[in-house]
Amino acid sequence: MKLLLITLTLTIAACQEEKAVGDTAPQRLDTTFFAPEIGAKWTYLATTESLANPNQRQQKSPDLMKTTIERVQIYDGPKIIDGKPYYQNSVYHDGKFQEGFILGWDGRVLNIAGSHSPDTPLKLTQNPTPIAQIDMVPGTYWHWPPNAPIGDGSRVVAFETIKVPAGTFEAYKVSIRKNPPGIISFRHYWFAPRIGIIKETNRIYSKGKLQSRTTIELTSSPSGST
Amino acid sequence: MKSVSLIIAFFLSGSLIPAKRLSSEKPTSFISDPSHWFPRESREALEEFLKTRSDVLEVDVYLLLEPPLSQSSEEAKLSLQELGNSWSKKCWAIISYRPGQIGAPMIVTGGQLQEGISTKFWEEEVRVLQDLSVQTWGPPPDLDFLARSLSDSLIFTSRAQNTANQDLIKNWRKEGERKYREAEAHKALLISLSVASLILLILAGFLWRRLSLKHRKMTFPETRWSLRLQAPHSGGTAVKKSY
Repeated sequence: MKLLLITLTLTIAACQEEKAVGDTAPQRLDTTFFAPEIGAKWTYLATTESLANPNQRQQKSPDLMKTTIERVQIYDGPKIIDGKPYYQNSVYHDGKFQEGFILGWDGRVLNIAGSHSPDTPLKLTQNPTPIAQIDMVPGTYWHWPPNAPIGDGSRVVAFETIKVPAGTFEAYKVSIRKNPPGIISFRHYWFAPRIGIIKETNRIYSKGKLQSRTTIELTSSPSGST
Repeated sequence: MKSVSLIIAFFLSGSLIPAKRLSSEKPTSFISDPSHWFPRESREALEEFLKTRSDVLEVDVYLLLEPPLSQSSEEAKLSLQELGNSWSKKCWAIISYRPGQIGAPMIVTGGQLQEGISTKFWEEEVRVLQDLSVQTWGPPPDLDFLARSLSDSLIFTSRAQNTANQDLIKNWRKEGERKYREAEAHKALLISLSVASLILLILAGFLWRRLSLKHRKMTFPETRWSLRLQAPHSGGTAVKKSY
């Protein structure tokens, strides 16, 4: 769940270059699609609807609990672990530290490589979660974690124009499916090169019911929209 | 009175109502909802989404809330298959749901997607989406979610197929080029070896001849002569030497 709520930091670039929609999506992103600047800040509005009583049977008007929070993500700066550079980010919910994560970038694939908190040092995960890659196109599939059944993982399903409070962006839509026993998580995020994740939706199903529905939308970012 | 009731019941059962033939011409809207089951705003938003997906990403998803009446689900599927093939030449899917129906909507897909796709994978994909569509806050299926997710799945699957094919073609080409290069190199090596062998052979022959000539025993051929005029030696006129 923690990973599911992670949104990512990306860059500030002065100029917007290619504009592409649908099948004309760039076949290969330039290397500046990930070049964050220290202190860069992304602000999101996260709205979650969930069943007030998870044991409630299905009915037309279930009791829903709706919460809205301001989610701010800040790029703290680079960290060197085992000789490799990583990018540390911190996430604050309504002004309070919520979680920390680090991004890995090997020049081709950008992934969530680990976590941190004020009390614990940086910790790398064994199975990084891919976010984007330089040659992504609709149809790109990342199978993770390695022992998951085929079909689980992330899929790039489209390159499209999307409108959020921060503006209109051209972004890759990525679908993530994870099916741990008894639970189905169906998540989408929209990733704009040189900007980061601009929108995320998440649905969690359990015991034959929709348990929660979350939408996170970018309200301001370090660089402008297209 | 009883007969009137029977006739009304007969009509209400739908048995005498001719199955509504949906036109084989491509409809102007991706959502057919004559009973206004969908809230207007949701319908307009979904319609716009499906239209964009069709125009930009060449994936047609139709949502029918007035499915053709059929005796069995198999017949209904066949009927929807025909409709889909006549409506779209792209990747397409039709979601068919009768308002009030219990259970998941019917989904029929076709078009370019069917060429070369793993049927097992696709059936599983559709089944998961059908399951998720009925796992909602309330009893009616979440058709908006289903239409959007199905559109995503169609795009992913068709593009993944193309990407895989492109990769396959690239691999074939690379493999072909590698084999061709190997064959050419092999041929060049064989020719070189043959030429070198031939040269060596000629050299060896030449050397062998030189050596054999150098080390040969040079003797006069055996000859016989008869005494001539009783002299002890002849003039040796019959002696021949050849090289």
